[in-house]
Amino acid sequence: MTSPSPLSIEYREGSVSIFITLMLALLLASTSRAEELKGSMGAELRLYPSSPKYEGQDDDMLVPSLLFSPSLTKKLSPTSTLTSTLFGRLHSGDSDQSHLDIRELYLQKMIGEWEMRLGAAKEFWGVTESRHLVNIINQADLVEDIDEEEHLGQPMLNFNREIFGNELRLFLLPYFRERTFPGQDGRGRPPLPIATDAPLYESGVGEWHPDLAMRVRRSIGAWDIGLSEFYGTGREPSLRFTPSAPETLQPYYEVIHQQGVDLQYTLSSTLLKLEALYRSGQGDDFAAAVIGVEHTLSNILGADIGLMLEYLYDGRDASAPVTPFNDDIYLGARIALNDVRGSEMIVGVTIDRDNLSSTISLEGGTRINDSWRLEVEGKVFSSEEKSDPLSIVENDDLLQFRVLYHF
Amino acid sequence: MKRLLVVASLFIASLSAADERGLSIAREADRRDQGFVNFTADMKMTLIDSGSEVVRELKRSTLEVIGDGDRSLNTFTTPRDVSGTAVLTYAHPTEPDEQWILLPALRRVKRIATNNKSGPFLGSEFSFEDLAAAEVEKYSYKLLREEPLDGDDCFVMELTPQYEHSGYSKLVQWLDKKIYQPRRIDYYDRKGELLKTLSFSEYEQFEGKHWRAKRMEMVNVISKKRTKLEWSNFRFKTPLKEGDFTVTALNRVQGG
Repeated sequence: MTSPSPLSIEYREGSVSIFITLMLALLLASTSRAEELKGSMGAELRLYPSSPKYEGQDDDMLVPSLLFSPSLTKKLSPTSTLTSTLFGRLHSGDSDQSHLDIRELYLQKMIGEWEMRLGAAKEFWGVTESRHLVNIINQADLVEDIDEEEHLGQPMLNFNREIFGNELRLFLLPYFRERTFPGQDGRGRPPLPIATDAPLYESGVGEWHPDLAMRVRRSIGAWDIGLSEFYGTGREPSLRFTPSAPETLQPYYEVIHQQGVDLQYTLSSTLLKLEALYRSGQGDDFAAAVIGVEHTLSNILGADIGLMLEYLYDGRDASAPVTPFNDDIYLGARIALNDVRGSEMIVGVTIDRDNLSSTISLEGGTRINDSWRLEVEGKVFSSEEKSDPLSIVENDDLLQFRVLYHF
Repeated sequence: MKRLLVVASLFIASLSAADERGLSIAREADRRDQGFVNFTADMKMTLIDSGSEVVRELKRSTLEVIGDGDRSLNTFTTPRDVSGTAVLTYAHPTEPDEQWILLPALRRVKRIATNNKSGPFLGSEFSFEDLAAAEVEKYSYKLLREEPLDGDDCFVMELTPQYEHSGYSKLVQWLDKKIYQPRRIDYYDRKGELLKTLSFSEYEQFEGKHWRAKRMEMVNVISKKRTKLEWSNFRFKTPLKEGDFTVTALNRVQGG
């Protein structure tokens, strides 16, 4: 169940007409000058080999969806651009998974040396692969991906500029967007569904708490260094059981203060990476880090093979939002064939050092022709202990195919 | 014995004379193109493999940097699934180049290693190093001979990569004596075998000074696959400045 918010519209049956109207409106808009419409649309098939763990979850083995993500860029003047990107999923059957989100809708304007962005936009920080620890601006869309790899557009007033060789990025985030979770019948949810329509906030002004963030980044030879600061509503909620609503878990969002650092040393074919943060506001103050190395074997019959090893640490206590990455090792391989089809694949496994619970993940893609691309994604969870967060999703192993038409 | 020494020293002297001549020709070619400040152009790459053709397009901007390597920003237009992907490169004469890529779906900027140069670029017959900025210091030079190529008088030069991880043992370049631009480059693999031949045509002069080839064609002599590059919309001395070739600027690249 996605919550109603100014940027997200929930769809049930009968939503098809709105879906199609929006698409047509966007396509028609593309005929004007100084505008560029691009994006993708296509079909997805999810395959769940195991029956769900909890009552109320759909027991369909095959779950088809339609996806579309148009993006329109309009040059308003030599120094200003309007960008909008929608994302929509039309899920089969009567499900809570159908949704539409504004991933981007912002005005970008150059004011002297400053770049200003006003509206809902995306921002990514960090260098590691197994977890995006310091990346905090955009809320995760767990309906789309329980790996926190998909994000919602974040309303912002943002100023960026180059200053003495540093990249300075300043953010005022006036409105908070709640995390989306799979609904009652969805896979990848905890034993009780999450009441996304009744979130709790530490801040008295709820989702209108004005969050502040800043990032400074620079390159010094082979080093790329980023420092970041965030003060505002934490993106990860604690999930609370409330006796007054025993059928659901209520998300609770604390106000947090976080310092982050991300570091990469690019040495020949080897990258050394570090992401670390120090956070207060969720239980006792804690630190977390991901440290890793990526080594690329290049031009092996034309292909590049990157081997990745990362260690994940998180020192949060039990009163903070739960993470499976408290003491884990990630091993991964990235294969890019450098062929005409742009074929690539990442396979990886994250293993808990303490109880050996693991997640195997696979992501791959190849072009069918210039417009169509086939994507495959797979996840296998294995939980060795009931207390491990992964035991929640242990029945939700997934194999997913997408064919997307890029226009 | 003495005679042998004389012959040997003469041989070495002629060798180093050839080296010196080669280097001064390379420097002259570099000098003649100096002062372009910056330029932008569109590139269309056609991959040809026994009848089937696939097209890739990108927009390139290049900034001239005095005293260091040039900076360039490439933004892909097609294939559509990588549209908006942009690559920023700082070329350096002797140090490894620096490179960052913008992945538009996440708006993620990644610093990438530049040693992985010898692999194919987007499945074409060009490798990443073939498309990198040709700074004088990246090679050592030897003038082999002077001969006409298709009616154009050329210096024939041997170039040996001085940077690490090159896929080539040497390049043989036919440099046009009139315009000081290459007409042809033969690429030899690490075993010293001829691998590919690149030919340049449709040279046009811009700003009364800067020559640019509007067509290039790379032929793999072993697989017979070909990749054609067509350049258009050259514009020199645009309002672009140093601040448009930074990671900050890469982060704000739109469209493509």
